[in-house]
Amino acid sequence: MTVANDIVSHSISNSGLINFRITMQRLLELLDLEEEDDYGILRPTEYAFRTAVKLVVEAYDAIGENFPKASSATDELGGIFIDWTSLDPDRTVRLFCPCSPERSADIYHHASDEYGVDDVVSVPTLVRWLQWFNGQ
Amino acid sequence: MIEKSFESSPEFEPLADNILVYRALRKRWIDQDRLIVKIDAYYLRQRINERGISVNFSIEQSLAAIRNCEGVAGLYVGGIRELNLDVLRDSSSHASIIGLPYRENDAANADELALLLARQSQIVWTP
Repeated sequence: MTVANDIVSHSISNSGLINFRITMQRLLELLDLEEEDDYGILRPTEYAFRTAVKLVVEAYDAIGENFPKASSATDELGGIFIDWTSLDPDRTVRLFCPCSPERSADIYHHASDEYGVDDVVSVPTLVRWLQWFNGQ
Repeated sequence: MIEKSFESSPEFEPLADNILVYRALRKRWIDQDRLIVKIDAYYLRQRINERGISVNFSIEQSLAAIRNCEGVAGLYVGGIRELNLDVLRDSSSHASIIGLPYRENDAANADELALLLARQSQIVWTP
């Protein structure tokens, strides 16, 4: 029983780290994509990538074991979208890191009865929405 | 919202609500954890003044629509109209979902409508 509890405890304490590693791996995979396809740019700009990595790393530092797993994609200009999605309960948090500093980052959130976008993104803002995503 | 300033070609009847239309998907438009369509599949590209989201009337037509098609999603015209959008046919193989805003102009509604379209979408083909 003690061993089982230790395994469960170990698994829980590492879930944020595993989710963080998966999220980072998916971000890194964007760098291996073709530069563009017939729809638009596939590989993110350096500015978008740096912005995304900085926000994700610092959010993980703040949230730790509660960090949820995300997927990522580029927009047609080389910006990056990072999605935290849950179907039950219905919640989405979507971080946008633009291709260049001329545009601002933002965070979209969605639940069954509300949605909106925060235009000014900082680590505390991202952390607040990830905690909302987690139901905290 | 973008003005619905273009119309179906006159030789085509308006699409019935029970018509299924198909959207070609890039790899990163598919949530690999759950095999569902992501929001990314339903953004208009302001860079090219895109007026509507391209859809087709068969899986085969969608496979031919983009070079690196990694999936095809189906959704019903009636479900799209429930979002106060419309689908206008402009050829025997192509139609456009119209009424979406550019994300650059209205991020909240662009994201929300794209999410609701993604949630309606069922993946009907993968390689």
